[in-house]
Amino acid sequence: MNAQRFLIYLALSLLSGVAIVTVWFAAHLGMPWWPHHSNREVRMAKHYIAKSVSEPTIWIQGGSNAWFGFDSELIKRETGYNVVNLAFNVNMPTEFCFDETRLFAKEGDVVILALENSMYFRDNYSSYATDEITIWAPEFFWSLSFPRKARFLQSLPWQKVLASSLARLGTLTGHYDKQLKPISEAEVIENLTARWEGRYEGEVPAYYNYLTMNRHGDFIQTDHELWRGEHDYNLMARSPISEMSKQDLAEFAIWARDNSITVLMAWLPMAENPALDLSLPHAQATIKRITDFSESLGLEFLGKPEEFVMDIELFYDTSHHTTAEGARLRTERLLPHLQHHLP
Amino acid sequence: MLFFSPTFIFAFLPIVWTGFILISSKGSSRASIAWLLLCSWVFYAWAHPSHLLWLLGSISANYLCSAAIVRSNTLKSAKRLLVGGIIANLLLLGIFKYSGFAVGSLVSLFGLNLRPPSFLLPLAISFFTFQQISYLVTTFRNRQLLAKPHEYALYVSFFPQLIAGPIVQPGEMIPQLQSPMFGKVRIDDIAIGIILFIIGIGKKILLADNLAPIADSAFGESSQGPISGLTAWTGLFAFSLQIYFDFAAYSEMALGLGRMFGIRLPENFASPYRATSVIDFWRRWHITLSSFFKNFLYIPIGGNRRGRSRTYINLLIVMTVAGLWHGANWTFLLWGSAHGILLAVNHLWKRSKLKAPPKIAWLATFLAVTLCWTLFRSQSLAEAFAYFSSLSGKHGWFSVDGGSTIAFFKSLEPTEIWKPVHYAIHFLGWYPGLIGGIHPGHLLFSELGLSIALIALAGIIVTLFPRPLSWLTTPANDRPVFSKKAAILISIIVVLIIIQSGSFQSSPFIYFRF
Repeated sequence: MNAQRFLIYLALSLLSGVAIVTVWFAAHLGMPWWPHHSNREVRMAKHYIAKSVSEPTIWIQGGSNAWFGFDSELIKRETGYNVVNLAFNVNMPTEFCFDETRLFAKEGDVVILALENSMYFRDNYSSYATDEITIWAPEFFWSLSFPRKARFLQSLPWQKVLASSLARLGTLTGHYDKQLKPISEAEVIENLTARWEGRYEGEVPAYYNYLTMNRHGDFIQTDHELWRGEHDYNLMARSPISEMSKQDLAEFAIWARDNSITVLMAWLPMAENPALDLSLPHAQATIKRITDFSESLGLEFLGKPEEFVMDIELFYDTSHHTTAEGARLRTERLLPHLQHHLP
Repeated sequence: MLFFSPTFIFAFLPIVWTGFILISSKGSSRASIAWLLLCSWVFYAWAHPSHLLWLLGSISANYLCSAAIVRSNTLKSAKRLLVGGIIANLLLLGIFKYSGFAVGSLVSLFGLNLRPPSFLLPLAISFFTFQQISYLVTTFRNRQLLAKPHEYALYVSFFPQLIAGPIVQPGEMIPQLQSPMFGKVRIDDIAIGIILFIIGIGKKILLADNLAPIADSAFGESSQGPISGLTAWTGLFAFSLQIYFDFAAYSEMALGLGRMFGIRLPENFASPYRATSVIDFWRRWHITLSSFFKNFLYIPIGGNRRGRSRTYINLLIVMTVAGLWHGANWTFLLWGSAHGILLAVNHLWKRSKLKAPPKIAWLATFLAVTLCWTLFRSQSLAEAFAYFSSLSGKHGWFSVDGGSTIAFFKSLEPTEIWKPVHYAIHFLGWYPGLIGGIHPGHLLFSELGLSIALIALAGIIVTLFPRPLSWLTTPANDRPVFSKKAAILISIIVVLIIIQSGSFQSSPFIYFRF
């Protein structure tokens, strides 16, 4: 074989290799098995709640600080708006959070964005998020631009793709249906409504489960081991706002303005602890960086971060999750600012 | 800039190569050399621009020295210039690389009140210094100017070999730059260059960088306290294979890059772990450095011409210096000396006419070389001796807390990254059940199980696979041999690199330190 033919053959074998990998990747897409069931069901439940409300609505979005940390019923009572908590997990890309909001928010609605501080600085996709998204929200992956797709795939460990492909193989052998098959969307909704109406007879897990949500999508069950550690809430480092966050939040702000939707920013609840001192220059500089960035997009924060530093006893299993009482207190502190901004 | 970084592969290399081909097509070899020179200096200055001044200064001074050698009227004055040039080179190397070590040793030995100096070592100083010494000596031997300034500068700075070798002799490269064929790159060379480059990346990313954490973890743990014999041996085998794949990878990438520009660089490795004696090992490992020491140190101090005992002493001297060349630390010195002793023992064995079966000879060589890597990898002699102690099983073979073997295997857990695969198999019910009370998945996907599997795979590759260049060319006439098998292998490597690109932690080449 001469060099020219060799290079052609090499190019063809490479294309075949890439095709095999693409088929392998495609085989694992949308293939839920045990570790993905919980998040998949939570998303189904949140979508069900979101579809059932009528306008005008306040949509809460962010990481799990928002899922655990708002008393939506209190907001509804005080403002008269419907309230849906779409927030989920800090690992989810901001772009994903905004896409979820775009699915439901309409003209005249309000969005409260309570992003974890780390979400402003993150310039990559977490492997947790890429694994979950390829399984139960593959449409998000396909919606990404080419460079973002490449970055997304870079964060997806191939061992996770292999695991889900094995699960796909299990569908052919019948083992998947016996051991790993998730419940359907209809079952999720049926169980959820049964739980709300006190008819549900199954076991309710304590942790990250659709059965632990109220009718607004807030997390309500707090009987897990309590967190009592130290955390600086990513305020002490000199992290710049990431390019990803800049682009995603700017696009979202433009979309909201074009659709006459009000977007308000909220600080996350922070536990008093030795690692957190908001008076330090580093912390103040980081807060200013976040505030300036938001204001440059025309997005105002509701109050100051100091208002949301609370007793550590009001926190649940991690530094970012408040107890029900913590959520109520945070919401109470937020409400005056919110009412001031509501149209 | 690392050869496997996206900046190098997708920006630097295409720009340099396209520019080279375009300039060469105009027929000016001087312009082609100037282009490669400029790009090589950009490559060198990428991380530390200030280091370029040392490189340029060293090139200028050595070229002037070589010109003065040629111009000198008598042999004596030429010799004086040569010795002066060599001393100046070694002095520069010594100040940067060894002054801290020397002062530190004096402080610890005699309790002197001195602060060891600390310098940021210019990248590749050990390599470009040796290459220039070889040029000075060759110029002295020939008493004629071997290269024009731009040719000489490229001979020293050519980016594929600048950072970590191969250490090229003037006769191996300068005639290529002066040949009328320079710049007329053949498609055969491009194809072989691409193959070698991809094989090199594969060795680095797929093997060396995956073996590194196993070795790092064992040596790191050992520096904190005793480790089990099993952990110590696993870590040592991992390092033995890591250093080979890491360095051979760099050398093959360098060879491949050279070929893409029509320049053939000398091979640095010839399947060293297939050696059946330590003498054989040093003919196959870091060949260009071994040749340098043989030609410029071993032979000048007498080689094997002054009797048996003097030969052994010479071997010990050369290997100790070779050890020190790798770094200013007692561990490198002892590593070199250990190899000097092994070479002397090997020569004695040869004289005894005793013959070991080839497999035993191979195993003994591999174990001896691998045990010596303990010295090379440890940060200090104390750490090295502690590691040797763990290798002996003194602190227990399976666990250091005195637990039973079965308890050790039962305690294994799958690693975090492999847990999804383990759980998928587990929940699909595909495991056969406990084997002697041990979960097969826990064993297979544990750090130990995965480490042993990777070491075994790497071991098979080093012992059974031919070296790439011998596989891609016919040894007799260096004609390329292209096959479908090679295309498929390269495609598999590329695909595996793509698959792993998300989860791997790349590390710089080990030999960048030297």
